[in-house]
Amino acid sequence: MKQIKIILLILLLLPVLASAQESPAQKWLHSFEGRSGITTVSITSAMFKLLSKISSSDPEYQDIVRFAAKLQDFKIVLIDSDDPKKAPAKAEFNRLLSSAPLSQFEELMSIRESDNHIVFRVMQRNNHIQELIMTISGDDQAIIFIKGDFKLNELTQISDDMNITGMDKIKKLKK
Amino acid sequence: MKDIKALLEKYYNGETSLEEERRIQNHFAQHPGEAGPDAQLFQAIDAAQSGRNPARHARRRFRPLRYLAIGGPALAAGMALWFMLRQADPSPQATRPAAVPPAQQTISAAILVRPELSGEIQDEQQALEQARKALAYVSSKLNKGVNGIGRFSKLEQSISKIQTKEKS
Repeated sequence: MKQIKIILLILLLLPVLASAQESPAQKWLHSFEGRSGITTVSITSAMFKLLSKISSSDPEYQDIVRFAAKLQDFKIVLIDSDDPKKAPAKAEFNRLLSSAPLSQFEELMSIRESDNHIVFRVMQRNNHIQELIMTISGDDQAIIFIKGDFKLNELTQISDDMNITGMDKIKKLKK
Repeated sequence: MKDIKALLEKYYNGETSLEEERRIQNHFAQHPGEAGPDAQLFQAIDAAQSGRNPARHARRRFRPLRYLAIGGPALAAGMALWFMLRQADPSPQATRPAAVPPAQQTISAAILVRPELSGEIQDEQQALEQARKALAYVSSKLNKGVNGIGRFSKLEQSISKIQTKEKS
């Protein structure tokens, strides 16, 4: 009887444990952290849960809050191109970029923009994106990683019309 | 002119003399602006007699109506396509004054809400602000790629429409 209880408990906890486990892409992105000249920014799953509970009268913030509720992880890795001292960081960035675990990703599109090459790769299930990696290489170096469960058109509908300049707009928010 | 018409009628009935045929030929040689099958026929005869290629001779003539008939629809189709593409891509970035020109904007300024931002964001408001800015950046690049594909397919459709019209 005790054994059955333990098995049931494991079965119940399995989805929780599975979701808590990091994907290969997430583990790979950790390798950029703490490197000199490379900036990493992340928003965790717990933070997205909190964000989804925010309410705002502003319809544009409602859209982003609704989208945030579908996200589990968000990471940014970048190097600014204007600093000549960052040449070693660029080399390190490129080295780590070449080791990206992209076997389960499919290339969505690639864009040539001035001196940059932008590539979008996605891992999807039933037309829902589970993970998206946007890499910028060339003059600038950056990676944006999004993990969640969303449709591509939900992401393309997000616009930058608000032109955020500071925290003034966000003060309107109420929890 | 009436005389030429009468001569032409006589010519097609096979009743003209050599002198009368020369008169018709001279008339069309002196009035190269005249169009129509009669003019074309006598210009061709004239060209053949003088050893010129009638087709090349005819091509050299300036025919404004013909150019207008061919070029007009093509120009109209081009303008319609240009207008359609402008409507499809209102280019909000062009209408909105940017604080910093994109060419001068660094990648961190384009993606991050603050250049000094680093690590895990703990503040809810800052997290929302940052997610909003970075997602908008990703979205704008995705839209740029999608619009590029859309423009290409529209251009292909318009070219195929023009080609079909030209064939018919």
